[in-house]
Amino acid sequence: MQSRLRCYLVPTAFLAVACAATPFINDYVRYVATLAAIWAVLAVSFDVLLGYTGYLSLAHGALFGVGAYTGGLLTARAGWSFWLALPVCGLVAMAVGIVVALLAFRTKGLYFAVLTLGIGLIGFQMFFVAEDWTGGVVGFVGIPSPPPLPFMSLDAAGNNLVIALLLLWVTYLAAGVFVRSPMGAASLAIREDVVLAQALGIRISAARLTAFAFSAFFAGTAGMLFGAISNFVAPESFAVMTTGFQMVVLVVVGGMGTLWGPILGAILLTTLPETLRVASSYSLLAYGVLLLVFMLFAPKGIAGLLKQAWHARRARQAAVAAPAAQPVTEGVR
Amino acid sequence: MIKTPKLAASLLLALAATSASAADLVIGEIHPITGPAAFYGLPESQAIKAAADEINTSGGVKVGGTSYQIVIKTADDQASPTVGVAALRKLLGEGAKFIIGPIASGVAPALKPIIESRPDVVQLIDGSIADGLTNGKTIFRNQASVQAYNDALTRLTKARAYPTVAVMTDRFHAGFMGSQKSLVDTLESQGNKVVAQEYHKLNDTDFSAQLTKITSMKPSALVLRGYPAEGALITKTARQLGYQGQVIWEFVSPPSTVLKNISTAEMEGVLNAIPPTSQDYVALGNEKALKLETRLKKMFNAEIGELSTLSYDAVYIFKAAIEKAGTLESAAVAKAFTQLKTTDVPMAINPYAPGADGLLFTDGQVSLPGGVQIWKGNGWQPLADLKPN
Amino acid sequence: MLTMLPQQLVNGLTLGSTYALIALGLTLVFGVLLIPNFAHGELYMLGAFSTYALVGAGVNFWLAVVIATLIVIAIGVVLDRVVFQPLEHSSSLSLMIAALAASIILQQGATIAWGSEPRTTPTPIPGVLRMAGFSIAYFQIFIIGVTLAAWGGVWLVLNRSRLGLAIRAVAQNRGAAQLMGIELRDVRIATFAIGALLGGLGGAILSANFPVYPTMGINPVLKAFVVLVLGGIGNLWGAILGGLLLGIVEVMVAGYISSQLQDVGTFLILVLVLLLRPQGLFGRVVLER
Repeated sequence: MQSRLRCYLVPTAFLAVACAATPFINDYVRYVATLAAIWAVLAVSFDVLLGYTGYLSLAHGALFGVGAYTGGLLTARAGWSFWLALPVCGLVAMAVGIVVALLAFRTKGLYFAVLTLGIGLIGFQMFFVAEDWTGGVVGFVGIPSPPPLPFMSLDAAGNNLVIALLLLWVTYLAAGVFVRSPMGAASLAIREDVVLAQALGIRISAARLTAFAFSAFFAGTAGMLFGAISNFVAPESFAVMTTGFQMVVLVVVGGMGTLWGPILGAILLTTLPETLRVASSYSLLAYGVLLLVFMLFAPKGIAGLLKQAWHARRARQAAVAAPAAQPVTEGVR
Repeated sequence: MIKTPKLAASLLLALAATSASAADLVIGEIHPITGPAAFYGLPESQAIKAAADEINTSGGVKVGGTSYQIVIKTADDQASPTVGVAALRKLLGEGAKFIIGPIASGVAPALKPIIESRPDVVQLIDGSIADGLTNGKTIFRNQASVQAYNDALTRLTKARAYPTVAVMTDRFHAGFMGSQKSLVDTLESQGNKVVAQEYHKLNDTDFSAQLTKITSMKPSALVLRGYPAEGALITKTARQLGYQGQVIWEFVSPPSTVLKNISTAEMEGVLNAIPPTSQDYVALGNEKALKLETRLKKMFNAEIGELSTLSYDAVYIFKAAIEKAGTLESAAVAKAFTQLKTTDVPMAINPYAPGADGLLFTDGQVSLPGGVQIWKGNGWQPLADLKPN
Repeated sequence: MLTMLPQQLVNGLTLGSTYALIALGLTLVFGVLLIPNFAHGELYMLGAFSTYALVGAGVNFWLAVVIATLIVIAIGVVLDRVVFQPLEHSSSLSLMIAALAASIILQQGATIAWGSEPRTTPTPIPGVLRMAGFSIAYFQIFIIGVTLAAWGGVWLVLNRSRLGLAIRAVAQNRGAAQLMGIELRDVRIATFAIGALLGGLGGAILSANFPVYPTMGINPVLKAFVVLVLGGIGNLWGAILGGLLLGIVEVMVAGYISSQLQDVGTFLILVLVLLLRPQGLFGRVVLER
């Protein structure tokens, strides 16, 4: 019971602190933080599929794009309100995601990755070809910003940041609910051993489809928000080898299967290039090296390293406490 | 808890970066300093610094009795819209009100909404050629628009009266794709029938399918709209497949890049319809261009780039506008931009054509006429007479 | 329309042979060692860059190809030792991610070393053969020849040598092969070396066919994976036929439907084949791994 409460309280506390801090930091930093929050939404929802269910999808960059373009079409062309459009974009991305999943789950392992890679690439090409809807290579201009939140009287940058943090909070809590549900347990079983899970009678198709749909929904909402804060989207932002690959890096470096690890990954990998101001080749090189180093030496990511350090500390504390207890029991025996 | 220390650190960094003394004039510049377009972006950035250096050593920018030294703040957009937006926000956060850049056609439209939401920011685009970027109030451009490229091309095709034309365009190039329809309409209206429109993209390595189609129609001219490396390979493949008509390029193609991918023999006679490049001015002995070339070698040990003269001019245009306004206040400077005449910027290297009343900008856009070049031997030479001989 | 057909078919065969050449090395490493080597494209790229640099320094083209190939074999073996061997017992997901990381590292390393300006090695066999219905460059005929020769060479090694026997045994059943006394480490190094040889040779020769730049390996390796899906992983025949088929389909889509949809066509094929015949057009049904 206590840990259930903790699961809701801790993220809410973070949200409150972060929101309280927003009026005090400058525009540029807030913009970077907003981007980091959006990437964190992507990372957390992607972790549900990659970390918890064990499937590597390279199509999510395109799903992110579907959310962004749908958001543009709904708000700029059809005049919908931001709050109504946000969940609808998630639903549209989810619908596309379900179609992709139904196709892709007929394969497994590397074939799954290659198939989703192919779909991600097709999606990326379609953003160019469907010019009338997406604006093609020139991009989709004129997406309206999110409306100001009531009761908060923040300027545009602060408003965007708080909305992004709210979305992250919702995503994290929802992911937590999924992971602790029977579906979530089934997903874990799939990750560990699909054949055994099937033999045990676990309904794997429902579980993994739900995981895929979940990650697609939030990728879509993140895309919509991304379009709204940039007022502009171009296909370039949804390429497989950059965005799609970045999602994998965030989750792996942050810590697969932990939900909070990917948030760390997102923060680190969004703020690092900005604070270091490195040349593009060096920053991409650093991404690659980081990913490789983590895969080889710390496959559980930063979250894994932190947990290890925490457990080591607990073990040391226990070892210090234990010898004092020994003589008493010895005497009794 | 995890976020705030990083934010605090970034805040301190941002504060530190904004320190500039009172008699400084800050100009921000956004270009691809690294990444795939660095070849064009870095020389532009260097030219801006060279111009600033030249102005500072000869007395700076004079406003109301004070002499301001120009301080250039550089931001790298890596030719990516997302990086470009972050770079712009960083510059604005550091207090820059005057911005020069960008180049990449994908970056400029992403920056536009931000610039327009800040009425105290004035932008002068020195590289991007895509349509619809200027607003004539706070966003101006001293680079030719893609229209100038197209005008040079259509003048050529009209003069030579090509009965049939095929067009091969890079479908990932915003500038070319955005103006494709108007180009085709103009060609058709002046009697050059467009028999084929084919597409390729940057980094493609095989064009045989499209060129086979085009060659089978035997157009008198084949127009290429894209980038030099692909242009070279397309030209090679076209000849290989038996195409014998005139090949016309419509993009900036430094001979050094071209010759890395195709032989001089295969390039002989190819035409190029673009505004003159910095190297053209150097080759023609333009004094100011030569001075810039020397200064770049001295300051950075770097060669002059295709678009360097545009960036150089941009700094002088800002100087002229600020001195005309008599203040550093953005609204006045923006107004001065709209009132600048071509004669107000004598240090500019590019020969901007005066608009109505001798104005430099019309709706925020300069008039920089394109010309036609022909490849002879090892490089391009200007083609004065467009008629065939 | 139909008059173009012979030329388009020739175009497709030429393009396809470049795909087949790259896929050949990948299918070997993947089929035998179960390593999804995304970095194979970078081996190809390094072969191309090395050849260009050597020729630029005055070395004869053919000699440069040989040297470049040897360089790439060395790099390939190092790549295996540093990246894949430590992950030998990890999931294929980990291998995939590590391969992606290695790929990015090599790409950016090449960008930092050489810059991203495209460049082409001057062609060693200039000239075009013009026939009645089509024309083809002599160098392109040579490339097709090299592809077939490479396939032949690999087939000979696999089917007529002791090493090849060991490789095939490991591919069929790793455990049993070990029990039979086959030294896994030697087979591993040899297989990776052959794979790298094919990749590097492909890059070296193709550096004279189209521009060379640091990210030139991305697209070919994606196409190579498509070829592998078409042809069946580990199937040599499949790699060649799949590559040729893919080249022809791409050219036909670009030539007869629309050049805007060129890539869409490729990946649609991928999706269709994976759905309808997951073992590939030419592959045998493979047990779930």
